[in-house]
Amino acid sequence: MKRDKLTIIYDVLIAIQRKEKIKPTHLLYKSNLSYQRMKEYLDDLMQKQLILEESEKGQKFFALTDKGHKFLQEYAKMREFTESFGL
Amino acid sequence: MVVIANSPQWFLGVDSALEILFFFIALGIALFSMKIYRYTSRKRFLFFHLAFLFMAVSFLVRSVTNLFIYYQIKKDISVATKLAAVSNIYDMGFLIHILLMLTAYMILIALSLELRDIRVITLLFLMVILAAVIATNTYTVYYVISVILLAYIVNHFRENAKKLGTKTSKAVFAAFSLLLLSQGVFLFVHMHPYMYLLGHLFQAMAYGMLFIVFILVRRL
Repeated sequence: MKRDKLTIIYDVLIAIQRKEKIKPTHLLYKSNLSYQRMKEYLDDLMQKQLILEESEKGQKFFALTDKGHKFLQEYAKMREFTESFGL
Repeated sequence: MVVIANSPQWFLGVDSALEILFFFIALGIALFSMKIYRYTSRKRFLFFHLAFLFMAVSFLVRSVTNLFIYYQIKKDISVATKLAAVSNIYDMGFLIHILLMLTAYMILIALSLELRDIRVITLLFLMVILAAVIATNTYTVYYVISVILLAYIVNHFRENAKKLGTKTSKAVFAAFSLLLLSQGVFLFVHMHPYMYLLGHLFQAMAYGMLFIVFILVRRL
């Protein structure tokens, strides 16, 4: 089943939250997206300040921001709202 | 006494208070949709936000206009002056109200029917707006168009409720069905003063239902 944008954002953020910090390769596997689409989503999420990029010993990681955590708390409400109105 | 609406006199003012409540409920839904748009950047949520924002402002304009008129006719000025002033302000307020409300319904139609071609959307929009504004009996034409547009919107919510079967989706369907009913009742306002009251009652039930949906969603 095709996932909508709200679900994909949730899947990406929840994958990051479960690991606290996640490597791009691991995230690619967890988010079930192509490399190109994942890159687009990550750029978008960073621009919206939901995630941030960190570097540790030359290795790149992604972590959630406070806004990212807040999104996850609000996700169920947003999902119910969009479904109720058939959006 | 100047009669603005064919309504029981005691209800004048109560209608404005109800419209202020509708304003806040529609505004709450508009703001929540904007929040989702900010996260997702999906235009559907932006348009849904605009639809409910237009509804909210439409009610605010109607309420303020009506309150102003009720206040004016209570003031001790000549009947002729009252009639002229009241008539112009009522017409202006009603025109802004219907333009905003029809725009809101058109946006909901475009979202429900998944219309993407901007030429089709603008054509429908212009036909609806012009039909309502140019008509000699704007009041009747507005409510006829509202009933038609809401019938399509209600059908979308009916299909959605049938597919999902959730409490909130059924409540949204019920809310818009009541809204459709209220617009139908407003068509017959001239027949009996209590039709105006009944129309507002159905409208209040519809927005009350939307408020319950909003609260259920927020409490998750």
